[in-house]
Amino acid sequence: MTGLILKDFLILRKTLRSYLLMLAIYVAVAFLGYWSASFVGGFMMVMVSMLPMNVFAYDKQAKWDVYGLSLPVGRTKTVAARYLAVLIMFAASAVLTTVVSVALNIAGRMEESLGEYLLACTVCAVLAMLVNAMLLPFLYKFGPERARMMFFGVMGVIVLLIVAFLLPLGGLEWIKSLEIAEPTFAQAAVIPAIAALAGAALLALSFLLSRHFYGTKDL
Amino acid sequence: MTNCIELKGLVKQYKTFTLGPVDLKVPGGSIMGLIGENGAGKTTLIKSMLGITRPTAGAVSLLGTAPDRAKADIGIVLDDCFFSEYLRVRDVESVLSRVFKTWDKGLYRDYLDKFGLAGSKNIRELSRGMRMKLSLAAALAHRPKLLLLDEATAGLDPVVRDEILDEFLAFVSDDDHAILISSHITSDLEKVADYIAYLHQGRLLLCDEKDRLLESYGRLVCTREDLELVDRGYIVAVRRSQYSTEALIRRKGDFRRAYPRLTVEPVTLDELMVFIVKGEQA
Repeated sequence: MTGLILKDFLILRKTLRSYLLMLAIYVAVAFLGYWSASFVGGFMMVMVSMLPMNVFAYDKQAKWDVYGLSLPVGRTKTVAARYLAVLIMFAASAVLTTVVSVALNIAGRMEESLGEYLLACTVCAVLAMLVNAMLLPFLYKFGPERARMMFFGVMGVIVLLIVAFLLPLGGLEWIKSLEIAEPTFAQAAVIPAIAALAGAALLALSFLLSRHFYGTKDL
Repeated sequence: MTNCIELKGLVKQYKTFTLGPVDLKVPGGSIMGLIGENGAGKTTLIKSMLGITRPTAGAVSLLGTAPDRAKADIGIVLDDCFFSEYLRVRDVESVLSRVFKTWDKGLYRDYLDKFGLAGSKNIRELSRGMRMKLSLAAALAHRPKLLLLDEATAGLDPVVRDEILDEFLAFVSDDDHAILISSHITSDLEKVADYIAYLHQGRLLLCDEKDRLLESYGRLVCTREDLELVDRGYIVAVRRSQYSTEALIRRKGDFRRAYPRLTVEPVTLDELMVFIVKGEQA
């Protein structure tokens, strides 16, 4: 199974390198104070959300699945390897985001408090995890091209629903008018842990669905 | 001698195509050549054997056990290179050495040297022939007992093909080893195969020892009038043109004794296929 996880990272090598380069530029710009540090966290989560789709697309291009099923790994372990790879990607980006956040905070380049910022990042991470938990079974069932279309379709619908909800209330002005208390240090520490557990539970459910789709797939 | 492959009534049904039922045995220490036109079901047969595509019916035994249990001892080369273009040649080893417990790093590097493949090379830079060599090196480096090869020699130059065929012969010198190879290059199969299985439109038309097959069938070249006199029991298929009439005949020895005046020439696997696919069936 470790071989398959390694394979996913090796085929993403170039993509990861370019993401890291972009991250370095964004962090540098944030250090210079040209844009908010929260942009960096958001960027990380968007990027990490795209990685699984890239892996599926690369595998499809190489017709890897046919070869992969000839290996002594089994369908369940093949799916498990992909999910572990996704979890590692999320964990790595969470660690990186935290490190960057702390550094930006120490440098005094953060408008928000560190707790508030990390909480916002956690919300982003949970959303990204939710998106991936939804997306992965689609990828197994329909393949990367069709799943990508469906994914953007679902995202479009979600955005429209949010806009439809916010517009009658006054849009972004309404959000700004909300008085949300700054989280305590304890809240800032506990909420990410609960969110991570919830994300993991969602991924577990998603795994069962993906295993079912892949287990019945005829290549 | 044990059978490395045993298929009993293997069927794979699609909406517009049905493979089988196929009954097949490949004994240890032998090479079976799988021939047939495009779309005859050769790749489907190999995929069904491995469970890549799920058979509709039938039983598959590889190396005396269920396919999933045997996979660690199987090397596979399908009709394409399945390693992503974003990998390097040496990455294949990093991945597969973690998949196969018996992976032999030295052997993989020997094959890379033999095939002129640099470890640092990106797979997207490799030609089709070089990619097939990489697939072969990957299939052989974990010291498998059974090789399943689908058009593995396609795209290779004759010199390399000859070297690879020698590898195959050395591989089956061990009685526990066997190879099933599908190929359109029937001359390769005539060189190395012990058995030939001929798939046509999903059905196994012929399956026999290669020598016996080539000895028992022959190509009769004669006039239309001569052909009319021949017992239909000998004739498998006929091809007629403006200038000649040819027939594929069975029981060549008996035929020669029965019709000493008529000339029967040896038949090649290519001719056998063309007669069966394009000839008028007797």
